[in-house]
Amino acid sequence: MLEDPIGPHLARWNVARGENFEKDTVLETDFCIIGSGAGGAVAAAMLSAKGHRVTIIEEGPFKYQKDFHMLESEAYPDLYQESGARKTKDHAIQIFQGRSVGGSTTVNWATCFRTPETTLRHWETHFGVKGIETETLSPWFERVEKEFSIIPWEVTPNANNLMLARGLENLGIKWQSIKRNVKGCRNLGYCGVGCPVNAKQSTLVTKIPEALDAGAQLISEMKALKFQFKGDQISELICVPMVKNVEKKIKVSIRAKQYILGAGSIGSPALLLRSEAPDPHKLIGKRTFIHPVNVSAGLSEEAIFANSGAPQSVYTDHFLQSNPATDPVGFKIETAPMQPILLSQVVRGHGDAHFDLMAQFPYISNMIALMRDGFHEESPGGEVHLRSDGSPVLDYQVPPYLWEGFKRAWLQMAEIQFAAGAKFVLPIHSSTQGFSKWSDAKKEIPNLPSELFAAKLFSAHVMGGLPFGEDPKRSVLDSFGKFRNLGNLTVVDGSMFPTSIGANPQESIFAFSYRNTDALLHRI
Amino acid sequence: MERRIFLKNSAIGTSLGLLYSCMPEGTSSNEEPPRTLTLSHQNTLMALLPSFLGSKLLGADGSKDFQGFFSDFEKTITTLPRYTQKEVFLLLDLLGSRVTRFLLTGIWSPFSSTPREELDSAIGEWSRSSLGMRRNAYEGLRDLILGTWYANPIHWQKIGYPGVPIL
Repeated sequence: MLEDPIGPHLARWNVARGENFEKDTVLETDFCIIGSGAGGAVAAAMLSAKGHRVTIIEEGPFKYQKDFHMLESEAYPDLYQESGARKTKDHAIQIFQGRSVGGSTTVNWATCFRTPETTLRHWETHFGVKGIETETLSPWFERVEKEFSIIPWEVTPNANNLMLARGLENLGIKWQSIKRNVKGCRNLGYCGVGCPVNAKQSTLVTKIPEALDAGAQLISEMKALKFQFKGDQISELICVPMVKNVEKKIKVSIRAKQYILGAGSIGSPALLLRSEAPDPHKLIGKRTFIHPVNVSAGLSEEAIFANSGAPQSVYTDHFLQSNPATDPVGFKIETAPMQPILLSQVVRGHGDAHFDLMAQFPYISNMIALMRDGFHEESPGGEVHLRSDGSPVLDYQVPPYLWEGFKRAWLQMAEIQFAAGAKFVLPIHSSTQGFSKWSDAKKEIPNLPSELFAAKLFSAHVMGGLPFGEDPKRSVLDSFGKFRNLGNLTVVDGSMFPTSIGANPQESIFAFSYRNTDALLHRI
Repeated sequence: MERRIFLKNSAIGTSLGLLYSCMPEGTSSNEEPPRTLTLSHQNTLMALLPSFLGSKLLGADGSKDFQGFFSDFEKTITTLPRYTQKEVFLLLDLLGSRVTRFLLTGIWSPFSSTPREELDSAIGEWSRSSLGMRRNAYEGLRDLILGTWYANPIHWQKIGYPGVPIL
């Protein structure tokens, strides 16, 4: 087990929790950073290292290695937004987002990709984003890859990922190994419920300790409620301390020279909506993208145990080789880890039929297809709304453009699964009982109804809602993340992206956070 | 009025004007959700669990002492956001009320006096409903019941999940 980078140091760090606040309080700092995930923590470490006073606000709790027991029943309430039950407004798509110190980096599957060239050029061409040439961004990616130990996974993939590799190989389709941000990984497979051995190089064990070592202050279980404005400046951030998800009836005001927003692509637009931030073109929260995911399960004669081993180590971009602005939607195929609660939600139906599939747990493999949404005019994305209590919800309608992609993906995944030796393939859609032969699957999958709830859809990547670019009518941030209509706000999380990434976004957020924070330091 | 707005915006509240008019009086949206299941909620769940979990898990007669499950179910609910907690309790209220139960599941009589075959059939229909509100309610209840069940390690052996590795 790797050294605990947190526990032994807590006594000397400037950390507090919501429960530590007993009365209305005013705090002053140079930089107030909202969110401690991929965006916020990188900014915090960079600014602290330069000697600035930094205060990090995190809505979720400060949980770390000692709290991680590889149990879904603990991890979902402690580490995920809405206990892992966050859904789109119509409840048809389940959204997994982190909510603890480290944000989604604490619970993701350690998969890293640089922002694809196709995506960068699309942003340049269609959204006028500047400063994203390959040679300009490369140093940031190189820095990120070094600091987060992002390296190719050279261990033999687990059986679930081998199914994907074998199926692709047998079909003559190119596959590649995934790069992972791990150091001393034990290949346990429980990245999604908090790494119990500190191997995953999340911001929880890297940038947050770095920032705290350099004197930053971290306040967890502190909900950012709204900004107050004075002219074109944010004058203070009003926060509410929480104890076990219950808000205390006091407020904490944070007065800073600069505010950095890294609360994620639902949380960041929501904070600005609650604050009624200036938004002359009504762009905040719109064009939010989620890489909608559909799933295909396979049954094999040999044991798979998709709970065990690095969750994602093999992928193919074969189905992304198209013009995203004009062609049918492209998708990336990966795999997902399985544990009992998650599997129980994925398997459709109930009763004996549900149990029959659950009872095949050791033999179930899976493939997932991540749709590259937001590039085509028929994929406009969703919109963040506020409920009457001010909490955010994403309204995301699934257009026919994406349904066509789901069906094509179910077909492709079924073909790959049969080619890999699966004896039975089940697209996760309640209108099919599954297939024993590829010929049957090929015939029937195109006829599956385009029906919400029948298809179990997921997202673990939320992007957009505060797009960057040069056109004020289409972007609320400039190309380096500065909020156009406020003098002292910079955005460093995935909400800046004007489309989805087309790849797991963690590494992109790391790199763009460095880039935007560096630009901020040059600006002030 | 608050209740009407809540229903309209809630997971199970799409165009629920008719359901609203049939609702018993309950909490307003400003009140804290309850922390525990009422006897009526327990009776509703007790009747539905054999259909949702199936005879292969519970045995042919579906009989089981569900007190432990109720406790786990309450714990699951308390981890959810406040508005979701309210939706869950509202759904259980709706299922305990004759008219709204009928509109959601097609069953008029109390679940406890409905034959198991009839319940199985009605829940099957419910699960395939093309009406978003009904389907949504089914999915929400299904996810809660099955998620709560499989969160408990005593149920892992039956599905072949080996449990967490020893470090």
